[in-house]
Amino acid sequence: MSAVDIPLAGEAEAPHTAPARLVVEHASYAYDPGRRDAPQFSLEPVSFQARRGELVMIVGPNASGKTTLLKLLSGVLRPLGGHVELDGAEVARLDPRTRAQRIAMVQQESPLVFPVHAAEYVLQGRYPYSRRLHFPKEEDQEMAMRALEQVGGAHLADRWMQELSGGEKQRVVLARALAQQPLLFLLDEPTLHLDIGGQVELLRQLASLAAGGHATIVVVTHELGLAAEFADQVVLMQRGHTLGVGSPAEVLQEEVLREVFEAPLRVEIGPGGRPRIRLEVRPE
Amino acid sequence: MKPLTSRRVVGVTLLLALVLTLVAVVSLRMGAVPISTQDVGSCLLQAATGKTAEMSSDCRMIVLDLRLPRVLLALLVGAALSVAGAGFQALLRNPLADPYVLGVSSGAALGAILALLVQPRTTLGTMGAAFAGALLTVAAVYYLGRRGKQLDSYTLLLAGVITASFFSAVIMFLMSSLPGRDLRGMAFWLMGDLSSPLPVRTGWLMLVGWMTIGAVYTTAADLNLLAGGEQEAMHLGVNVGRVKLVVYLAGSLLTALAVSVSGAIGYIGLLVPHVMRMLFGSDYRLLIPASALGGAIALILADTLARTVVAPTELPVGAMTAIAGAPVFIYLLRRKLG
Repeated sequence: MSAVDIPLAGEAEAPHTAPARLVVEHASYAYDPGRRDAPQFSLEPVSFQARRGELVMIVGPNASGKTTLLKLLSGVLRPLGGHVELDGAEVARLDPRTRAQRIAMVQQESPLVFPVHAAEYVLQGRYPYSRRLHFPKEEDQEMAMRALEQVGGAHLADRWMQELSGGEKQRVVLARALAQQPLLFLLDEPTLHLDIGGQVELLRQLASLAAGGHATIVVVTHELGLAAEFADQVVLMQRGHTLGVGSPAEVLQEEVLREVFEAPLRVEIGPGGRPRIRLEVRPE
Repeated sequence: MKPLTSRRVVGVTLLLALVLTLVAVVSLRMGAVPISTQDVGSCLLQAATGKTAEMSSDCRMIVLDLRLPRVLLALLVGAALSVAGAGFQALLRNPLADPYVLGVSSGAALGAILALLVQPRTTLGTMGAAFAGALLTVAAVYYLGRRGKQLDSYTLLLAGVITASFFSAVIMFLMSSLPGRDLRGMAFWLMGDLSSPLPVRTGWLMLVGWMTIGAVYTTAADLNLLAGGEQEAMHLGVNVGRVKLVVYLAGSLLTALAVSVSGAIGYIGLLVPHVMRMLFGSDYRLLIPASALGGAIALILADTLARTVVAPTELPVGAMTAIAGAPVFIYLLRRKLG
């Protein structure tokens, strides 16, 4: 897979000298306690920055606020305090179309009600650039096909989405996000329905996409091993608090992880300086 | 797979418009007094060119005064109910949603009856009350159909069925206070009936109906994305709040319009979009015009059958659509339950 097939908006400077693209500064949020269907916790102020070409992974146990943070980054929720900026623009203030041109969100799977072909699904990624009835132009179709090729899913174009396996579906969903040509990719537990091979392949694709230097990628995940192996930056969260932001080696420390996840985790440093996390369960 | 083009939309629309014209001509021919296609054609031509003096009495009394208004009414009501059904199905992400099953038709009927009881002679009042009834029912069913944050298919259907049955009970109660001669007419209307004389000019109804269908069509590309979930649509740039408002208001208005002139006709809004999906795919840019024309064709056919199968006695058209629709609904429900 080549990460630079689809041109993404924003070019020039080398990723590591470029100014921060995503700036999260003291962003906090609290759900309305009067609403029965809202999570009963608040997200305490969180701050971090991400440059173009960086892969940031947000980890933490259930109900730690990872998805809420992702919603703040996507602009669907407006922070009650602080702000979230993408290339200097506050994301919650962008109109829906502009936001969709700059930010692509890959969510946990929601079932499709009516049958749709994979190619049509990917074409939906061109919606933010279209006029009202969105009859796709030739360039939109080419872009959609290139996105599918980029994730190794060109052969899926004529298949119904409902017939695809978890891994195939994930490729198509990622292709739709690519077709949006965003500056920022947000992925909420994208490895949830994938086997270990599929998880590694997806993370390789994302890392390669980030390494292409165009997009910033933020992934929420429960997979500590994948975060340790692939992330440029890790954000560790627990019960609405941010416990650490930094490189995997800085954040994924054994003592902290044991306490946060209440599990016998062992952290070793691998040959490349990246932590390796394993579960240490002794037979009783 | 080739993506949908505007050319295909126009092609399918023209094809269905041709079928609709043929069905309309057949309907104008059929009845207690059969009239030849040639006579129907020349009658319509004379009416269009204003040559009233040359018209035969069959042309004036049967084709123009009796059958044509009924065909036009079936055309409008069928189109309105189908488009409302297709819109509700996308918004509620439920292929079994339609104005009748969701109780919206009953809500509109209750509104219309209340207005008729209070002030029998104001057509606009009746339509306004039907619209308010439809709107309130959509809001109530939407609220009752949620479980937690999610809109649950079965809770939603159950909410619709229960709301419809509650409104039916209230309607029965109100009708029991009517004198006997009004009762039969009202009961017939409730079952879905296209034979009542129209309270307003067909031209106005057509204008409002087709403009409302046009308003739904402006959201067709958005509905494609909304059918995949509100959050997904929002992340793709859809102004979800605006689209929901337009389609709920338009769906309620179309239902109210249909109910106030023809009672509660069931299953058209459910089955026609399904059949059109099977024939032409799920894309709303094609599905909405196809459903509008398909609904018109289906209801003209149903009404033609209703007035000819046991002629000279007429059946309520709602009975015809229910006889055909209920088994298909059960089939679809079982298929969805897997």
